[in-house]
Amino acid sequence: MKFTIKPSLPSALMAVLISLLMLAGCGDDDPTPEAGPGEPEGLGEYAMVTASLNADGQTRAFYLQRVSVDNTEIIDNSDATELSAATGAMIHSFGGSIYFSDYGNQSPNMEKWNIDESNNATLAGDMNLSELGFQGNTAFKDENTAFVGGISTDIIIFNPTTMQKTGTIDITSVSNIGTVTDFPQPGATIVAESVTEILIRDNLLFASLMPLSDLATQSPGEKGCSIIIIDMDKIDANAQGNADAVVKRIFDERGSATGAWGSGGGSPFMRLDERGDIYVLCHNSWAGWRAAFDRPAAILKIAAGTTDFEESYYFDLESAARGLGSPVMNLEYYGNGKFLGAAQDPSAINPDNPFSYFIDPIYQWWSFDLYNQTAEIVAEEYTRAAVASVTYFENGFGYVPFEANGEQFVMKVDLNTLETSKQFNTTGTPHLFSLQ
Amino acid sequence: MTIKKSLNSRLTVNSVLKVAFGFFLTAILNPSLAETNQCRVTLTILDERQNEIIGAFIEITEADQKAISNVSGEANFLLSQGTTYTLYVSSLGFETVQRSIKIPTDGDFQLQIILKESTTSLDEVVISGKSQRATTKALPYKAQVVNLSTLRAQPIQVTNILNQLPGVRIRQEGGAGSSANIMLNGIDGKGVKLFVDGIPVYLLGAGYSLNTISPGMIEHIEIYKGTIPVDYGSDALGGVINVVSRYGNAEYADLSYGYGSWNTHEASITVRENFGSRDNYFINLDGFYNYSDNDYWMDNVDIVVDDLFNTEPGRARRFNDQFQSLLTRVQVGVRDQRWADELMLMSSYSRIDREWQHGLRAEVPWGEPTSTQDSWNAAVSWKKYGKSDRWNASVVAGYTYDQLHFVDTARRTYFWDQNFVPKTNGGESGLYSNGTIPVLTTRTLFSRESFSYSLNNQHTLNLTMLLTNDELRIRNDVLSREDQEGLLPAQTLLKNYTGLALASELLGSKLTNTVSAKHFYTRSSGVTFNNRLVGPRETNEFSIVGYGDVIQYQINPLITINLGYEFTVRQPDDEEIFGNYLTVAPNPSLNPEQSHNINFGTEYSTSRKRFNAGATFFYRNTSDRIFLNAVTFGLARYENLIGTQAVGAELHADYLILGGLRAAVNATYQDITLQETSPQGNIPNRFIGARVPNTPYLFGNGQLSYSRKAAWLGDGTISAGYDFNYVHEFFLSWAEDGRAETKDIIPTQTLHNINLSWMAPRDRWSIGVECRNLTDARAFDNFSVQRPGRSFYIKARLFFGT
Repeated sequence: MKFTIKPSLPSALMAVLISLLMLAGCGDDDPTPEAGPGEPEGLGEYAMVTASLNADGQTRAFYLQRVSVDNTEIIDNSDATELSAATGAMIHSFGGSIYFSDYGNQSPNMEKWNIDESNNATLAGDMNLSELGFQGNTAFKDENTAFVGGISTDIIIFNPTTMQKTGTIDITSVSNIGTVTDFPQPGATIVAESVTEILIRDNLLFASLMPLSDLATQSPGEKGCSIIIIDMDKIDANAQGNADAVVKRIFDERGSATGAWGSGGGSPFMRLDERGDIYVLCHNSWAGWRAAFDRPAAILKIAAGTTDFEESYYFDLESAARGLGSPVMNLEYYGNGKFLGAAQDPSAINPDNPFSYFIDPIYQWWSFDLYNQTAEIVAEEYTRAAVASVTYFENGFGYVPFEANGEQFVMKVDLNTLETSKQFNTTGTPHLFSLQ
Repeated sequence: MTIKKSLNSRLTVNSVLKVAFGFFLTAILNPSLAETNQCRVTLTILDERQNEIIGAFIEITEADQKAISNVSGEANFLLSQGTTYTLYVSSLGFETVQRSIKIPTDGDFQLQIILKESTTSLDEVVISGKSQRATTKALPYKAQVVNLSTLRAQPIQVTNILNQLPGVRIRQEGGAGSSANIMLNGIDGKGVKLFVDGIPVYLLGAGYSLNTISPGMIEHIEIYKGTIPVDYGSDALGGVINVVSRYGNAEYADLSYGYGSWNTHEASITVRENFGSRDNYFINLDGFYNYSDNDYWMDNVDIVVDDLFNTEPGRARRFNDQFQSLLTRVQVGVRDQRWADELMLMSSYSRIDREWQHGLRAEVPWGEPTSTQDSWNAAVSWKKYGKSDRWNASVVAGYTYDQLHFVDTARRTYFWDQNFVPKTNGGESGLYSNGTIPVLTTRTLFSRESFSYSLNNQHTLNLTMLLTNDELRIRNDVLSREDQEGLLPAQTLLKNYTGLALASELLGSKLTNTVSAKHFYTRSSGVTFNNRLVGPRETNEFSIVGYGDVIQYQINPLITINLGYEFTVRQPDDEEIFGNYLTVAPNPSLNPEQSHNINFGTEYSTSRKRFNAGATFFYRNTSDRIFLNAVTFGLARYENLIGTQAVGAELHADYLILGGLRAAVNATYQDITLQETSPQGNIPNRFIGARVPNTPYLFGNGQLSYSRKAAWLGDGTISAGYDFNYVHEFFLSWAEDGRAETKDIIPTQTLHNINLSWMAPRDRWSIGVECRNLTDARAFDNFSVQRPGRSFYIKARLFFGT
């Protein structure tokens, strides 16, 4: 909800009284921000969304602006458009637009923003997604059809051009809600299943599930990874239900559930390689899952043309990187079977601060090879990958968001040599997207 | 189950009114009210031009009776026949009168007191803040005092009254009964403490909060900003609001009932009765009942337009926001004994039932959460004044039981038009599996002792102590006992406050000074909580000393200056230390919030007191401010997150134009900036020096009132008033980020209110009407949380007695 500022007669009357105070009080921090020290050198074909923590210490404001990745000077938010003053969760780009999803403060919605070459951003539509509770990552099929799930037994079909919901997919037939799994403790039951991410391959939707035994603590409810297969050919995008389109639910106990609500600003956890294989990151990272599951973060695979996990493929990410006990988050795929992931260093967690796990820089960026099952460290510096991990790749470089010790910047990674450099600093946690 | 349904069988507006009316009839028909061994004394306070003086302070020391003259300049007392008393009358701008009066042995007694205009006195913004006995030295603490005796005819709420004062800004989260956040000179939240008769309100129960308490049981309200007298034995960081109950020995019954928009009912009853051979025993009964549907319109909210739950912006009524509060209080005591000037037993019960329409923001409504809060309190107080009021002592001790029961289990997601979608998990207010039914029970023991001693005519010592012990138990009825094991034992929080002050009058009373020291001690004992696992019990304690000095100097009879400094702290409360072990983790190592406060003010008044104006400049440097730090949806705890600095000024002017026509205006500017950040919170250092967002920084009020006796209407008093309330727009997020025209703001708002009331002679009855938000402006205190539009209220009041 935006308000416009309108002058009024009482305001003018009041201004007479307060003029002295105004004269005394006007300062640099009055609501007319001046140009910051680092204006972009030139506007490019990229959108950057930054997130800044507010004074209450818990809400974040989000800002959108057009930038050039060739820029090397600090880019502040003084010429950015405020997407949200207090909440935000995920950002996706599609068709030159930015889709800003929010489920903070129990107000789930999705906004579509366009930004022109003059850096003017306009709200092109919005959609109330209250029925999803906390929505997962969005999958865009084309300009007329996209899918998004959440804590619901319905997946929403919507038109990303008009931002109107057009239909639903009822996944109740494969839901395990109410099933006693005795995990993570005897008697535990699946109380909710969230569709955290959807990947489109061929004519199928692969919707990952996060079964939970307790929502408040986000405790897992299933010892394994579950994905629902949905036949898009049987979906009427303009109809509700579409239950017949649900093909099956597949399960693999070697990895944990995949996906995470809004992790890193909307990082993906399932990726499709050039061969048509789907790689699934079972990160085991959140909410004590690592301890409950007692298995390493791993990659599972659904081979091209198949709809089941490939039993012969299992990539132990922890052993390949920092060693067992260091979970790996993020699956920023950059081609040829390689991706950037953030490996956690448990020794970097401050034992005296119960929030250290969430607020301290405890991750290091690594490059993983899905085919050879190897890993190589990219940067020794620690970052907060949980709040910033959506990475943009172009021309052999990766532009990785980095946040540590009060400093936020975009780290440029040479994907051939894995050499890194600080590309430009930002004021706020950065997320870069192509506008092409 | 809604409140309305749940209460129909127990408590309705009608049933409450029937009980109240019955009680009222019993009270007024009781012959003891008309006993004749006491004489009804009516004093009328006038100036030399025979104009009534409103707000004059009258004290009769031998009877320990005090009163403030009402809109007719009158004050009433019940005194023993044939006895001689000493009378003190004081009023700002007038010389104090001391006079001996002998009460006749039969009939009522009326007396006019003429005050001469003073050439040495001081005007205050509203009314001078002398709430102590007249013998208390004139303290330099700058208080604003709002006398409600002249406002009782109006259907006005206490929060609205306070919102019209300079430097005060109250932000509410909705309509009637919604929680109120008070800001005084740049410090808000728990840094501002509310007292009732000098007792911290949290010790008395939820029914006494500002958003529920009835104006009918209040004599006046005192507001102290920044520098706070030691009498208020608590850890207020930015200021104190002290609600003073109606006092005096007069016997009367006061009954009022109001009705207004959104099906709002407000009823109150106050009865004072003396008994015994010398009428030195008394019983006071107070009660009020508030109810509102709060179903006012919300604009620009999402309305469902099809069965896919697509939405369009539209208008909808609030639908889960019913509010009801009830409070009863009885005081029984004895006066004028050798061993006590007053000994009183008191007990109160309050209950608040409310529905919860939304959280801090209103984008998504909640359709079913409700809460019930029951509080019961019992206390005893003792007061004794020494000979010639050389010393006085008072003790209050009591016990309070409070239980808050919140229910949120609906498996539905609501939209503003009351459409809903079924969902698999329960609860709307957060992320829960089966909802949440927390039950918070607090048992509090407290004692407050205050002792004042005049060393000589110039110096007075005051010692005040307050000891509280909270025992907090939390359970959640949706969780199994096993899941809460370790939480069930009580957590305890012991706080002790000791304040010592020396007040001095020097230079022929032109200079007054108070130097004070305060000691704060806290000891907490509770379980630890890490990674959602209950750990061993842990005890923590800290001790800290605050200090301050305030000085007032009268430059000449027209101008006075005031300077004060105080270093003060706010001790973390049980919610902040213990959390709720469910979504808010405990943090026993929280530091107290600390603040260095400076006030500098000056007041000017014309010699005939028709015009007065003043300015106050304030500075607050506050560190270790405590905020809830929510790092995930399910895990949060209170942290010392930031330090801030507030620099500001408030101006006020008051002009008695002619007769009963008065105009007043005030404005406040405050610049609150970030000064330090904590590594616990990740707030970037680049914002140091920036204005703290989501906080009003420029606001003001204007009032125009007219009041006069109307002989053509039976010599009653007719009053009319207009006021407006202005708040300048402010950003929700840091001003440094984002182009101004794209940022979310709380827009500039100007609300206009008008009222009209008629008060019968001798205040026997009155009726008043009020229109709030006359222009039906869209009003917001918090983002997206709309306040009520134009609304109308009417209130009738009956008064029996003297």
